[in-house]
Amino acid sequence: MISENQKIRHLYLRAGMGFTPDEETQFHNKNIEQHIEDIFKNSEKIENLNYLPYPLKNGDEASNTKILLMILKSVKDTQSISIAWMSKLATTKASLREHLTVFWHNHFSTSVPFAYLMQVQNNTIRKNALGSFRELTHAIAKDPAMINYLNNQQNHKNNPNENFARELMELFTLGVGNYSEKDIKESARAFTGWTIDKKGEFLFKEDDHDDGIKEFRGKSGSFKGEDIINMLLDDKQTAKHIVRKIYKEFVNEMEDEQNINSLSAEFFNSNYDIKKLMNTIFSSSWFYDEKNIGSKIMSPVELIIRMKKLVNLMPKEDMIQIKYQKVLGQLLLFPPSVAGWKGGRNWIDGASLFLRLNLAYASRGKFKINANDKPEFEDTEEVKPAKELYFTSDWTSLLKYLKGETDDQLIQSAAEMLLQTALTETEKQKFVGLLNQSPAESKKIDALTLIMSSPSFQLI
Amino acid sequence: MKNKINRRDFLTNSVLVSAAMFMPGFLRATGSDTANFNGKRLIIVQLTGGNDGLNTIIPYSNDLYYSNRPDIGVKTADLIRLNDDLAFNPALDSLTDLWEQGSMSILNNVGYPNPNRSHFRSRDIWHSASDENKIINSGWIGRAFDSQCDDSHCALPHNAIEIDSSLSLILRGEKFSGLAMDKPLELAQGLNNPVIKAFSSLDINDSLTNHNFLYKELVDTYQSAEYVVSKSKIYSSKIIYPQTEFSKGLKVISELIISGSETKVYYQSLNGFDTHVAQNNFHPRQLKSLAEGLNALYIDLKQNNEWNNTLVVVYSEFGRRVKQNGARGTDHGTANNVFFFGGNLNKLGILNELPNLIDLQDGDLKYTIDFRSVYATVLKKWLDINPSIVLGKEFSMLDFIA
Repeated sequence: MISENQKIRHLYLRAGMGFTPDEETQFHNKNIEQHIEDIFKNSEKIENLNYLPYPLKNGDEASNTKILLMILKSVKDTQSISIAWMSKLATTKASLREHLTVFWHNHFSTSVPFAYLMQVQNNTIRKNALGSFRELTHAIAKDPAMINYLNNQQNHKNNPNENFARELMELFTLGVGNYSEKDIKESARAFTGWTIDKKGEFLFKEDDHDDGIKEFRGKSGSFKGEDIINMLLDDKQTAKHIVRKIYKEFVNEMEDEQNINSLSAEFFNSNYDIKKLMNTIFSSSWFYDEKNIGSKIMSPVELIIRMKKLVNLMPKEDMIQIKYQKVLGQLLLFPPSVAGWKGGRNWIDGASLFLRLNLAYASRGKFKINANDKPEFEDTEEVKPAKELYFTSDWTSLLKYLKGETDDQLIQSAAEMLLQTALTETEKQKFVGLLNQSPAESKKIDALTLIMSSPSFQLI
Repeated sequence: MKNKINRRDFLTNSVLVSAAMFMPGFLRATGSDTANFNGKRLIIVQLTGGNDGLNTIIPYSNDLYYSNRPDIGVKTADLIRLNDDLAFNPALDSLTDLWEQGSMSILNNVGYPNPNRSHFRSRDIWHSASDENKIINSGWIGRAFDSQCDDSHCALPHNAIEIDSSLSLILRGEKFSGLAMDKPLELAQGLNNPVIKAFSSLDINDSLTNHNFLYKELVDTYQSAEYVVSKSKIYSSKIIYPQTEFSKGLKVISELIISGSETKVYYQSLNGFDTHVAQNNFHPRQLKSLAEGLNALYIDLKQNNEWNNTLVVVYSEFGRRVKQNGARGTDHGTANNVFFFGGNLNKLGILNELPNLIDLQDGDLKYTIDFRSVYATVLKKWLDINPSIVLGKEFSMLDFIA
């Protein structure tokens, strides 16, 4: 039987990225419906990332030298924005909006060597994260970072580049297998002339646009880029593709066709209202089914944010956290490819699992974890020996709520606080056995650490 | 029968027995006792950043080489000549023995259609063996092991080791994943965690739920880590390796090989090849690091009678532009040479035609051999695995190994 408290925790772990121990004590003051309402209300606010100022003086265009300088500084600047975003994720009240911003960032995966443009895109996504997927798709198609990333500045009237058109269909809307090569070729022509100017803004160059007749998915006309996007969104397959992805991120990697079909129909009929879709998901009784609770492997970002909320996990310096995220495979604003992070079990290999399981002990200084991120392609030096990943933490607020005296009770209480899955007999036996060996003065914190070092803690 | 054998006791048994037991699929899938990779092993080295193949194996007889590279072309007086057309960059001095003693061959003009000049994308294409316009989220070595999994069991992670803190795409399959480690000692640090230790001997039969999956991954990784740590204590190399991180990695590899580790595939990258600026200040240093490391590996394995069972493949995600750029460097290019080393090569020396410096595409070399032909050949002839299952289609076989 799933308790109300467990359901509320499930809601906050999935909609947002967890909660602090103090927040959890307030859960019982409201019922689930009120919590859902709160989550949406808190996410109405749009707090932009404003780490980097606009790099040009008003009205100016960037010179080639300026562009080169921006590129040279870009990795470092983008890392700083990434860290700033992580801090926001850990502290914001608008947690659903931020979680969806991460989701759409992964969906419209982009990585360009212009930090400022990455920030612009991030704010564009955030603005539309709970709005209309139709508007979001139109906005991203004209987003300067996306245009740069998928080479649409090289998509010319007489020499089309198909990169954007291909990914638009394969990844962003229909999904693979639902279009032809001809659709790609024809629609690429519709996006010719979509480029960016030297102010870093979208520019439609009419004289570079092919306004001839295109044959696209059984229709013909002198389609423009906007027409192509609308035609793709008028296909129910797009709603299904998006809902499937949302379902895997927010509900369960194991898809339930019935749920996905009814959500897709609703999403399509609402003209792609994201807020409505999310509300339906969180309000559905199946969302709280046992099989959906504790079934998801946390992404590296979710793990770190959760640890920040639970024990105020802090890297000794920002670079440590960047390294840690890189070895775990997810540094925001640096997706691995246009397909984004694959997620689920793909987060896990032996090395990354051990790095996850060792985090709680390492944050207490109990033992070191060493790791090195892979060098950038541009690095000229060889790989350095692995560095210590040095984190600090503060367990006082968690400790306040841990109950029990005996080893058995302490483990039970820690598990109830920290795990979304029930302790198995084997787990219980092993944890109690391990806690037995702890000295009396550190029993409480050790009980918490043991549970946080278990594979089960990786599941939300 | 569900076997109840304690895997750890088991690890101390002979390599052959344990290999067979860990990977029943290896025997079943191929239906012959020549499976289990025949005791052969593969070392893959990636030159990360885009190695300038034309300044590595230099086509010195071609005037176009010098006219395209007035500042960075390697002077004829400095060259180590391989034949009338090609020569080593002098920084490859340490490879001379391998070359002369019949342990090296060079394949020119390897690439793929519609070459991508992004480091990330081209690296992923080489790792996943995908077409240029398809994204595949698993690596070809990972899938080679996938093809040997039976219903519930795959080979343990240490069958494919990457010398690094995190695992690259190349060793990630859909089911199997390899083991990343900087060195066995760092792997051992992970074993200090009492929770990991406590759960390391669980017997988990399926990984249907993520809960089971994570515990199974813990058990497999622990067993692999313990296996590698125990193997690393058996043999300590008696020859001196250069003090570079790359050579230290090769030393770890050769010690594991000589200790009898059942690992089939090793992967390591050497970076620093993205030579856009003042190339000749950096490129020779990287080549030297490569050559000295490989030479030490060669001596070590040869002295221990392991060189004949070893195949080393060295590649880069792309080559570089034929013409030098304005900063005495070179920009991202396309087709490139691939190097093979080992005591059991079928064809030695230069394997195919010279790079064509006249017939270029956008200033870059045109490929004549698809890199997946190299993979297909390695899979079929060296690892005894059906290439079309791993690569998704047929590629022609090459003859650098028999």
